[in-house]
Amino acid sequence: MKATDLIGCAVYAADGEELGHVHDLRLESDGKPEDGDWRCRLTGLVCGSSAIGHRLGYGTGDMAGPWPLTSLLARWRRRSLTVPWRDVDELQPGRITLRTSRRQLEQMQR
Amino acid sequence: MTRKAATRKATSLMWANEGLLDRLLIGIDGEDVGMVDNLEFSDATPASGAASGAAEPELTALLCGPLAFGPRLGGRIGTWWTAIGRRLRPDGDPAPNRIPIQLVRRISHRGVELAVPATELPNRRVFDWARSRVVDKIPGSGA
Repeated sequence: MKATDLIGCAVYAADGEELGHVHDLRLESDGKPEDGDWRCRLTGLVCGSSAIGHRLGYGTGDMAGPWPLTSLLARWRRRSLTVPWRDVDELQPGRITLRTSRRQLEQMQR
Repeated sequence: MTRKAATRKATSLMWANEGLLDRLLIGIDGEDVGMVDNLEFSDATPASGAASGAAEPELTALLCGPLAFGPRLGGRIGTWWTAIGRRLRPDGDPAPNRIPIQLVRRISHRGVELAVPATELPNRRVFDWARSRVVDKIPGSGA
C-alpha cells in the first residue's frame, strides 16, 4: 500500500455521510531514526473538505506566519478530522469507508 | 529501562506532508539522492485488522523518482510523468526506486539523511548518464 492509495480518497462515515478527502497521513514512531531500529506506523488519516492548508504546511498549526494566512488556514484546519486507522472499515480504490459517524469522530477529537 | 532510555523511545508524532513527502534524500556522503515522492506501507486489511486488534500499517520504504511521483500528480500529467519514467528505466521494471526505511539514519531540517552513499542507490541513473554522456565531453568540465 502506498501513500497515494490513501491521499485524495473520498472518506465516508458509517452512515454514508461524505467527510471529504484524505489530505494527510498521521504517523507515529517509537523513538527516532538515529536511535536505530526505527519503526513508523500509520495511525490516522486527516480528512476534510479543503486541502490547501495541509499542502502549504499549515496543517499542524506550527507555522508562524504570515498572519492573514495563519488565521485563515487555521479556521479551515479546524474543519478537518483526524480519523484513527482502527476506524477504517473498508478500503476501496478512491474510497474509504469508516465504522464511525462524523459525530463520534468530532467527540473523540474534543 | 533507565529514564534516559525511556525518554529516547517516547512516541513521536509526524505528518506525512510536513515530515516526509517532498523532503530531500541525502546520502551519507552528502550527495543528493532525490526527493521523497511517495511512501510505502505494509499491507493491512482494515476490517480484519481492526477486528483482530492488529497493528496499524508500518512504513516500509520511501519511494522516489518519476514512477513514484506520477501517481501522486494524478490525472493526465501524472500518467505522462509515469510513462516517461518507465521509458527511462533500462530494465523495464515498472516499480519506483525504493529506499528501505532501515536505511534512514536521521530526519533533519536538511532532509532525510541516509546511512548509505548516494552512489550505492539506483536513483541517480539519469544524473550519471548525463554526466558520462554529456557533461564529461564538454571541455573544462573537469572529467
